[in-house]
Amino acid sequence: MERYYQIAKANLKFNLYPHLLISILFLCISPLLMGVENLDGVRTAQVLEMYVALVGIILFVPIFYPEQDKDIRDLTEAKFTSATGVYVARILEAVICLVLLVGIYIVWLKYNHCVFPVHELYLGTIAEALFLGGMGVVAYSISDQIAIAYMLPMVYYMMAISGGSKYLKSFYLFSMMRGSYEEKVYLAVTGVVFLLFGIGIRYCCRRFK
Amino acid sequence: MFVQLFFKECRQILKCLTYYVLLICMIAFFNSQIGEFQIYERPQPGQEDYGIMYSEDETVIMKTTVGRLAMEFFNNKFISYPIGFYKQVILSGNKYEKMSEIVSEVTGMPEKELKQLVENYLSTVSLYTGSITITTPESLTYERFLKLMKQADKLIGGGSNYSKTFMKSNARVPKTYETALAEYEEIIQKDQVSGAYARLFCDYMGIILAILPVFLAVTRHLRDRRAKISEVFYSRSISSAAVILSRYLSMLAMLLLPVLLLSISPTIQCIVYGNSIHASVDQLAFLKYIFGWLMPTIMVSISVGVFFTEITETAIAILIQGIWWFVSIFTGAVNINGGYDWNFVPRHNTLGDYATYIDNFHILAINRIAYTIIAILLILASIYVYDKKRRGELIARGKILPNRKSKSKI
Repeated sequence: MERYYQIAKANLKFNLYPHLLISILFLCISPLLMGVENLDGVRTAQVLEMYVALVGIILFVPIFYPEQDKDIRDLTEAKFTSATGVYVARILEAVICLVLLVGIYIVWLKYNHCVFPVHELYLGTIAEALFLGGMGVVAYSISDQIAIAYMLPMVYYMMAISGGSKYLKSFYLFSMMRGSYEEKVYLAVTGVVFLLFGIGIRYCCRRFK
Repeated sequence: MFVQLFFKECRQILKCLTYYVLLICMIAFFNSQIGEFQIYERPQPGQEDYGIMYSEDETVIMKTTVGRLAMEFFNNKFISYPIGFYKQVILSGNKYEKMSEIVSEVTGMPEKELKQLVENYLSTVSLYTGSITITTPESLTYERFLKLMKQADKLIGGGSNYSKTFMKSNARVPKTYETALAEYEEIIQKDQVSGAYARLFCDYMGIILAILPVFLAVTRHLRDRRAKISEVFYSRSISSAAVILSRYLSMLAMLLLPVLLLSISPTIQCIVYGNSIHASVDQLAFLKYIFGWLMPTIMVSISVGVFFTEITETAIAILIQGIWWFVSIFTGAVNINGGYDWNFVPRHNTLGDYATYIDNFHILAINRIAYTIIAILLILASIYVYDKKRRGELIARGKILPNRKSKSKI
């Protein structure tokens, strides 16, 4: 356990730290771009679904970034500690950061007199962030290209914005704005599957290369 | 030499996985948004509905806008959409006083009397659905009204219902048969059928082309670093300008190519439709619009990718372009049916409306030229950075502060 704690500490310092900083900055500038005071349920859902959930892409996509350099990847794979364990530690760290950031943002919205169903919107936002981030992780593990890893969730988001509910159906990102939470269950489950699948692909690539 | 390098770069792009993923995304987006091209049929007399239009009548605009202002002032809750997201502004102190003066002037009533009027109105409606209509004083000219609304919008912080863009949309009226027919005739005669569809094509494709090229640019420029061949390139005799420009132009060409291919299908549909109603069709309309409207967008997106990847050797360009895209799209959403302004992604999300296009053409032209200049400047800066790196300076290797450790005090 101590070993994984050290891995998480190193990841926070060298890999996650800049992305965490960008995420915090991204959330902090939101009052300059949109209203975060006296919002009703629909308006709050809009802010959380269309803006805050994007933090998932920033936090999860760079999970494999340290291994982008082939020499570093060869080195980590030669170590006694399994690379899969390292990836799981990084993902858990990203999840903790996501839960905390969204949680703090929700509290802040409440403090700003927004009226909304707290638990539903909180969990719904995390589900969407997990889905978008997980999609990036899978894309990264398959393509080994960070650009593709960012591209796919962003294009998915774009399609959802451009009236994609007709095509995305149960995987539509902005359902809470319409008062529906069922889609978030699909997104959460798929998001977790994506993350596991992403690590699984990396494991298989290592094992069978 | 340059031409050889250009074609070599094109071949490299064809071997790049990102390019194919990008193509799939582009095609998927095209199909989901404009795959089913609907031909605008000639309106028939006696139709139930001809759609909605925005009234140009100054009296209607003044009445509806002042009514809305009176309601928001009564509640002291002013709605604005600075970047397309809802924002509620509560005024206090000096700003509230100034707003009170504006409201009194446009309604011709002192604050107390106006509040009483709104209160009486609200007591008569069980569920508030519309806005109160207030006739403005006869002495108030339209020019003075516009000036006051500009001040009100400034007090709220911009993007309010009293901004130039929103004021027009306050005055929504149903379209008549005559108006609908005139619009149809404009599409057939002035737009020569294909012009109207080309604008709609550019509107949708602009959304995705404002972001996708940056991914290709980042991948292409990070590839050298990953393959550890940057130094090999640095030592070549070819000029830095030739290296960067050949890459840049090859990416531009390879991105324009699928856009041009995607435009073939709607062009053919327009030609077929034009022939069926014996109307002349501008067969080059899509080509003209793509080069004039979409190319500057692609150029900027690639330039951002090239410049920031070259200077930082990280994928930060994606984040920068992503934020720019996000702000542009949501800001543009309030002006979705034309108007253009300075937005990076100009919108014209309506079929036809030739009048808006032609009235604002100069704004659109300035917008597109300005973004082309930005793209060129960024590329020149990239050449400068690349040249410096070849001389052993500005090498970042993914660090924010380049060459930090090399500055030894010994």
